[in-house]
Amino acid sequence: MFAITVRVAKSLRRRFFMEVTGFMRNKLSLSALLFGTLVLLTASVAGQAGGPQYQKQESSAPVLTGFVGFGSSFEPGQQQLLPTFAPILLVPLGDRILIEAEPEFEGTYNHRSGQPWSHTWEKGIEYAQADVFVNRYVTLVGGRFLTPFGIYNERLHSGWIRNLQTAPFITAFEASDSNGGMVRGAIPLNGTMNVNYSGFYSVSSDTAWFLSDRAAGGRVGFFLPRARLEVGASFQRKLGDERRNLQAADFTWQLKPIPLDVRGEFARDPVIGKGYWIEGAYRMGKVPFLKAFMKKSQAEVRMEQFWVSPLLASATDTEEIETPTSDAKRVFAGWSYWIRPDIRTNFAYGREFNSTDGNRNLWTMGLTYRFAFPLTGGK
Amino acid sequence: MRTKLVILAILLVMGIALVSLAQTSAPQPPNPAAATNKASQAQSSSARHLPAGFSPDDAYKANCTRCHAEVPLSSSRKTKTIIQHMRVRANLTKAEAEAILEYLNQ
Repeated sequence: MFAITVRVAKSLRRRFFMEVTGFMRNKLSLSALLFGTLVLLTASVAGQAGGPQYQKQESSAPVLTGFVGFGSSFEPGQQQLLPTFAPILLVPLGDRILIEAEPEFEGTYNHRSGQPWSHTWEKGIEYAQADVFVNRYVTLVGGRFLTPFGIYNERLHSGWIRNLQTAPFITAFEASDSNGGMVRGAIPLNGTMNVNYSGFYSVSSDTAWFLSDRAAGGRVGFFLPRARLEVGASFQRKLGDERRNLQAADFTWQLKPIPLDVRGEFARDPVIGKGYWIEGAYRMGKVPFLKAFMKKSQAEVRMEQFWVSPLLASATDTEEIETPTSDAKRVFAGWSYWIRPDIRTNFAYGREFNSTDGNRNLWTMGLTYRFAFPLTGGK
Repeated sequence: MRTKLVILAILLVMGIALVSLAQTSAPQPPNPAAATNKASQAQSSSARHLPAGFSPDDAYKANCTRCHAEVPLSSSRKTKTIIQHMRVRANLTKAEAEAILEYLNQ
């Protein structure tokens, strides 16, 4: 019995060494191992930074945040239920490095009159990036990230943030992900204005969870903190088979005399089309009646317009196109109510005016829960 | 072969850069005077780079509530991580990020 055990152990050991040798022969694996070791070393050194000091400085903790949402949309002849789960993992390595990742799972349960319910689930990695705070003005980003084009994609698309559940028309070509590198940051100028910038390069990827186009571009924004006004411009060059330039302009303005936020965006893709949206959100806290209810409420209005490019207008296969395939206008009026600061309900009515498909009403209702949990102990 | 060597070199450089960056935030030798005044120094550091008369409260309102509603208060370690995330996402200046952290931890 003992002899059999020893023989089995020897055989296992031989196999292990053979596998290790084969593994080490592969230089790429070796380099990956080396890189992994260095990252672990970095984590350990960076971890010491948050350790005991002469006077203990509070270190940052890994956090799991994100949101869970349940939306619904009703229009003549069609009903949709739209569950979403988007967790975000944030892992700081000291004060200078942050690893962040967000997978997103979006379901669409669709019902058309006279047909049974059908459903699809879209899964993807929104971003999985390493941020290195090089200095006060420069942050390097590597990995998969939200393309810095316009403001909706990076800042507003998240379900618990957006004012209206339905995304504007132009986000169909504006919102994308990139795989590559990015340099970004913000520079305060003479105490009255901040200039913020993002520049990126992305490689092409057909991998299911990591789809991206080969492209380069960026955004520059001018922010006046006192006026709470920001104006930005974005540019992107698609470097794939169909080379083309995309442009966008955006603004956000939080008025001080009244609790009103106004923001808007224009974007143009020569192949798909061009369009704009403008949105106002009025926080009802100062309304003199139903105070308890109004304090947690916000009224929203959005107007948007989209013009199809001549190329898209003449296309025959438009099944995959997410923008309208003919010129369209849409208005929305919505109401948000926060049951708790982290639970938001939203109700909206919209009407779309389409040059070929006719006009239609659209009703949406949604509920989102924004969560944030530290993954290690904290106060 | 050449590609593999290039990848190896890039990974090595990235790794060394990560280590050196992390080391810059490693513990410094004890300095009693500096340690005693650390909190006030941090405050003045963020305030020094904000526009004159611009408070952490202003920094929070001008940047955070421009995009989303106020978020629930939470632990300071968690808040610090989320501020790092928002510094990238919303292109905040370092001074704004520090001021917002100060405001949220008050």
